[in-house]
Amino acid sequence: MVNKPIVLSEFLGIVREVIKQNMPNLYWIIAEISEAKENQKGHFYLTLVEKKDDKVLAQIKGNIWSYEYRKLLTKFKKATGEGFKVGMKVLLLVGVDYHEVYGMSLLIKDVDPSYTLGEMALKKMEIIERLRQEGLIDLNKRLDLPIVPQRIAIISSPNAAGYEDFLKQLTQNQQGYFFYIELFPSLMQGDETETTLINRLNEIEGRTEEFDIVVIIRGGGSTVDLSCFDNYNIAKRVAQFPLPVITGIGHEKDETVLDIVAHTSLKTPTAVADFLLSGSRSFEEEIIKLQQRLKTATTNLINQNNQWLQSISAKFIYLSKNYSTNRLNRIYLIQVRLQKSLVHLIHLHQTRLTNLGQAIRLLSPENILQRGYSITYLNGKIIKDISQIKNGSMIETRLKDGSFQSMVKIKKGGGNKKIDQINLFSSINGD
Amino acid sequence: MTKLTYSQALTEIEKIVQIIESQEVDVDDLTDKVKRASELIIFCRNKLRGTEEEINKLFDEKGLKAE
Repeated sequence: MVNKPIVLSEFLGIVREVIKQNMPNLYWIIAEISEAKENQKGHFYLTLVEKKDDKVLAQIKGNIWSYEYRKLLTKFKKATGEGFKVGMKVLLLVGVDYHEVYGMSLLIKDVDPSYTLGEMALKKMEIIERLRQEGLIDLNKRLDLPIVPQRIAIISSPNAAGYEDFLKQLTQNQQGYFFYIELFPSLMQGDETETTLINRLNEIEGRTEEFDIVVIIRGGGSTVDLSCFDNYNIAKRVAQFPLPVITGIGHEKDETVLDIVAHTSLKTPTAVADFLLSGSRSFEEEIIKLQQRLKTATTNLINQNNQWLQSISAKFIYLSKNYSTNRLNRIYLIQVRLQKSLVHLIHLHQTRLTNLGQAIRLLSPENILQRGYSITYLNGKIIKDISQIKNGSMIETRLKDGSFQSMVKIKKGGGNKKIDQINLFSSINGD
Repeated sequence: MTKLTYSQALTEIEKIVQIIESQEVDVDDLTDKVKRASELIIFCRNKLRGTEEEINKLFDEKGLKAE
């Protein structure tokens, strides 16, 4: 059946009617946002697509009128922490609208943020899984945190309240601990975050020797728009960074991927400052403990040495006393023995002397003369040998009771010991 | 220039304390050891407070450097 010709508007009017009558209800549909734009009047225009392996399977325009957009955006942000963004998957309640000039579009009446949340979580899980498979997830955690992280490269938005809190907490500590802090300013939300943050990391990497750690912080308390930290490229860069990275991006919900790959992740910038301070504090406490141990050990050692000295000297005194007592005893004994033997010896000699005296008396010339012998002298010397005298020598003969002088008339013998005969002229010397 | 790090200082102090605690130290060396440990402790506590430069000067003058 062929109709008679009609004008375009009339024809498209029929299309509109058909659609209106056949699709009067609202439908829940799943789609990905590929374009999104709010106009000056507050209406929100977007393009919805369905893709498979980057190939577009379906595509259509959609819009949210301004009075509805406010309501839906508030609801969506409250749940997801974000606005409607390109790349997001959304579950929308839509009606089909057809306009003869503008064509087919979807009128968005409602949104179910829980679907997007699930999708975001899924996407995040995919990133985490990929990092895990690539061996990146624990890479930064394997770095040793310096005992005292004191030189800090900090990535933050320079005007963020969190940065102020961090500085205040760290620099105004009671103990007077010193920290060298250098700010590397970066955007910390929105689509530009990835580029600037990675650039700052590159700058710091060029000066690795100058820093102990990198701190990434973001304003306190706010829960909005954290999706930029669920970013594969940032996560990879942080994971492979040569210095430990500590995060304090101020959120109460689930950890971001950045937190997961960081060496240490803390809730707030202030918590990061406290963490760094505790490093200095516990190090100093350890040092003080060692100082105390050193003091105790040294005192003990000195005391022990003193005790040892005292006991040694006491022992020495005792031993030397003992020794001298022993010596004295021995000397005394020897003395007694000596005395005894001396006395004995004296006795012995006295006896011998007495005996000898007697013998001497018996052998004395007087005794011999008494027995009738005589002694002859020449010039006062006893004549023992005939050679001593010559004929005419004047000799003196001593008897027991007197002596006499004679002149030798005839000498006999010589070389012969025996005197045979001596003729004498004697002059008697009587007693 | 090799700078004395916290962990180097800590290791050295611990070693000295252990030696003295175990009484393996010769009494003649005791003074030197205690002096060295005390200097390291002062060095660390000053370094924590950012007076490192002055301390480095002191250590340089005395020839007390990290091994």
